[in-house]
Amino acid sequence: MKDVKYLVDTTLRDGEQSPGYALTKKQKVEIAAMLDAAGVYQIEAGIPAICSYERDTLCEIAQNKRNAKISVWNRLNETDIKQSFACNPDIIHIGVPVSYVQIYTKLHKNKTWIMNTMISCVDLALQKGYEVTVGFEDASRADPTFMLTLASALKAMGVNRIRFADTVGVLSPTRTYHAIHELISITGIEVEMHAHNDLGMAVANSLAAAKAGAKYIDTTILGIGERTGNCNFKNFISASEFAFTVSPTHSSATKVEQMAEKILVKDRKGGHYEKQI
Amino acid sequence: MIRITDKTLSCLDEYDAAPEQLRTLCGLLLELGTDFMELSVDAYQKIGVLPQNGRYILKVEDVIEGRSYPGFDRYICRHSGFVTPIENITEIQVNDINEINFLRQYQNLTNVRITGLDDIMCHDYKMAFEQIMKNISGKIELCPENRYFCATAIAVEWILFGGRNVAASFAGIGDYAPLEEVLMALRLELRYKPNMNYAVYPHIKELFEEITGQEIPAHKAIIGSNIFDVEAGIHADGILKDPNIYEPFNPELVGDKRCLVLGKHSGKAAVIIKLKELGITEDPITVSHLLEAVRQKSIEKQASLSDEDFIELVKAM
Repeated sequence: MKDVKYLVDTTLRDGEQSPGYALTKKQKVEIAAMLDAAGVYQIEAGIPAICSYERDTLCEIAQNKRNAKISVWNRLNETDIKQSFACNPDIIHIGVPVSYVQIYTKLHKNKTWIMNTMISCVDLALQKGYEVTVGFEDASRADPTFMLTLASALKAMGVNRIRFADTVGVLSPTRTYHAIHELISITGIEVEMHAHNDLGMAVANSLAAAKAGAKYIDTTILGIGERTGNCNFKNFISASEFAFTVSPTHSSATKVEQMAEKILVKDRKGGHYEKQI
Repeated sequence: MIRITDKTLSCLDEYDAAPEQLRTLCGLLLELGTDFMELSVDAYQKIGVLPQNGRYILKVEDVIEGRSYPGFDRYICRHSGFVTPIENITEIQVNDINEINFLRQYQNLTNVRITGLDDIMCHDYKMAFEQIMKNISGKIELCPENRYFCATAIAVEWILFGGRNVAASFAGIGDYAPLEEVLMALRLELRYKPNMNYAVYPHIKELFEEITGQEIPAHKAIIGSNIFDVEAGIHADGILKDPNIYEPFNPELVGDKRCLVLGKHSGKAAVIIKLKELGITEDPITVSHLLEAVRQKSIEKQASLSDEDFIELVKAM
């Protein structure tokens, strides 16, 4: 019996966030419906804090959904999280920068600030009755002991899942395996792998994470995303079917890709994703 | 010591490359600092005299054909007997992990290239590597194929496991591991830095596209033309503070440069920087309004904004 892995598709958040993409409400609603109908477990649909147009879009996606869980992405910021409530998602995802370069150079904060702000933001969403997942941003370059401390604190609060983000796409499968295995074995928390393709290893790293026990894998249709993109939805399914049970099947994923491609690719010069090589 | 073979010039026979194009491509590929360059007979005949600063492998049909082209460092051909000259590399196709057991019969060959193994990452690849090393006593070069999108990872993991030799091709032509990905991954993972010049990638890419008639996707790892574009507010803000926050390596290393793009996901910081870039001064209130206008325009256009689009919005404020 193969282990079951759950896909979290982030085409409508991390995918759309990459330069060249600006989907309309109708387009986002259509793509969400395709993913939902195909059997994707969770759809990360967007960022409520962007603007009211995006919040309207997210409301409609949440309203229309059938089986998939709809999640929305937030910065580590109470104002942003409050804006998410209006969209009525199933899951509120909070991104927490965890590497020193992100904490000290980007935010000009420190580890104590991260821990305290994370606890207050998570608490805010939990108090409203939402399922909360927390994304460790730049986890691949972070201090593992700090991540273990954060993960333990989250587990104690009732957060069951953290996202391990290889934000700049520098992991290898071996390093991915060890990092994920350590997080799970020490804290017992569930892990979601979020890989980027900067070195062409997003699919392999996601497979390594799944083998190490990550239950959830992030993907995007056509692999769209920041810089070189994310783990490609169809390609991951194709490679993982040897070892894991994943929904949707490869043939459903192919159909989703074909339909979504018409919306995502269009005539965007220089932004073609016709084939990821 | 890691040894990398660049297979690019043995994968272009189906395209009608001119001799001059291949000569230039050969010169540019040599700058990447790989250890061996593999050529097909066709490519060799077109290029003629090979640059002296390279070490070359000729891909031949069999050992006998190799004799017609003396002077190469190595010759490679599909298996043609269990006793082969020392300079000959025997290429063995292993289509999936279950075929590794068949390698036992080649135990005594001195130089072997294993091509294929597409699915190895989907299984226990470390056990498979161990089996390969047990089954063959001679020098082993791995040339992973990319059916399951893991060829780069296989090449890198082989080296991390203790393998010494891998083969790859530029942009993954021939469905092998993309050379540029393997080189960069080894650089970041193992600080493997041969005497190289990766800034030639844009020239190689241009010539490669000319020869093959295929456009490299804009988001292709290492060599895609848009990989250092940045739009999202959170990313633009981070990159302005320190590019290391959101870039795995400096764009200049690969002959590229970063580019700030405005669109639906931009933030105030990006608008301020774009204004500065264009030499325009605006007060903070206008910046907030401009940001709203940028997002709206981007949604209407269903794309990022060009500088001309942005200037129009500024004028309309």
